Amino acid sequence: MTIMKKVIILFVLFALCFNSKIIAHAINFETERHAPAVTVKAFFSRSAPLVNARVEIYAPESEQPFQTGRTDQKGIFAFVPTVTGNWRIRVDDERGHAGNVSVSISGNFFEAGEAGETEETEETGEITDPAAEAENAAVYREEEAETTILRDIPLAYRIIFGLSLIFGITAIIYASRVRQELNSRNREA
Amino acid sequence: MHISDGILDTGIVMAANVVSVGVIYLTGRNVKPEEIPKIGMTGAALFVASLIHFPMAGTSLHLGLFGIAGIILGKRAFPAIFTAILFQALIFQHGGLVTVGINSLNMGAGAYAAWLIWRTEALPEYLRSALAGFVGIIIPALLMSLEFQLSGYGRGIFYLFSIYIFAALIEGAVSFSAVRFFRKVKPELLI
Repeated sequence: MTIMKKVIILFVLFALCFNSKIIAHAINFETERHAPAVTVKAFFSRSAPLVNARVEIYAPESEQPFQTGRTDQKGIFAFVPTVTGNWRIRVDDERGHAGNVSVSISGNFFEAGEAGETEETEETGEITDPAAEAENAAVYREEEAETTILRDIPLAYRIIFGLSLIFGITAIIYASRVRQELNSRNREA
Repeated sequence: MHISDGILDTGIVMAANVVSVGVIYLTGRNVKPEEIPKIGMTGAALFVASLIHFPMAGTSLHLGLFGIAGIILGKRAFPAIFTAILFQALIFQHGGLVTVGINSLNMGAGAYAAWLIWRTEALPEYLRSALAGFVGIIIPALLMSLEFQLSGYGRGIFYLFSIYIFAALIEGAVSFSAVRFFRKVKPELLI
């Protein structure tokens, strides 16, 4: 493998670890159980909510939707469970992404006065419609441009980070190039 | 100067990415080991240079140092510029990630033009160095205006171009003093 190929692979890997969310949108769910209702918030990686996404709620051991609806402007919806068990929820934004989450409802949920509990889960979004996904990729990229890992890191640290990466790559290329040179010299000798 | 994602025509941008990978191969081929640290150092300087901002006519301009990169590295400037722009896009969100190709081609063209001017032995050195710095900004700005025009944007971009003339003048002064400094301190850096 030539140095050039190695460098290109390195660049691609590096780019991927910064932008993995663009390739497979992770959908996060934040569920809050607070009798008598369960509130679910659906959002992309960090902040962008799934606005006006189709929601289907399935009661435990049921294939028919218990309730259907849409998320609000903040990606939030709520429902009132009637029985204990695992309630399955499917959120589909109809722009090419969907995610599933299940909420387990135990017996003491229905007992009055129980304190609410919050739980956060992350589901890797499945791509339901590749064409729509491609069409809307630009929109999501805009929404998620703000959510790269490095946003919260101070500028000075980012500068040092970038410089050390550049020096590191330079050193790697330098080392392998020198080794090549030495090998060819040895072969000649 | 750095074009963001989703502004230019996708076809142009993707073609530029493919072309720039090819150009990296062509310009980085058969690189001598002793050249590599120089390329890395210049890349690092380019990477940081864009953070030096100065206000100008309602917008802000920043240094590019493409002229100096061309003077020091010649055709090897392209890999350094590509690396610097890629990391600026990744770490500073400065310019788009998909547009790294077209941005580095624009600025690489500036560096190459600067190198061509630098090699013109007929001119005195101070003039060559200042001109190289000037061209290092003006060529990318010209290309950028052209690309915006091709993607169907109006003439407002030519207003932006007129601002870049000031940036290019500043860059010319920087490049002039940098070359004087190198000539005094480390003349072997100047090819």
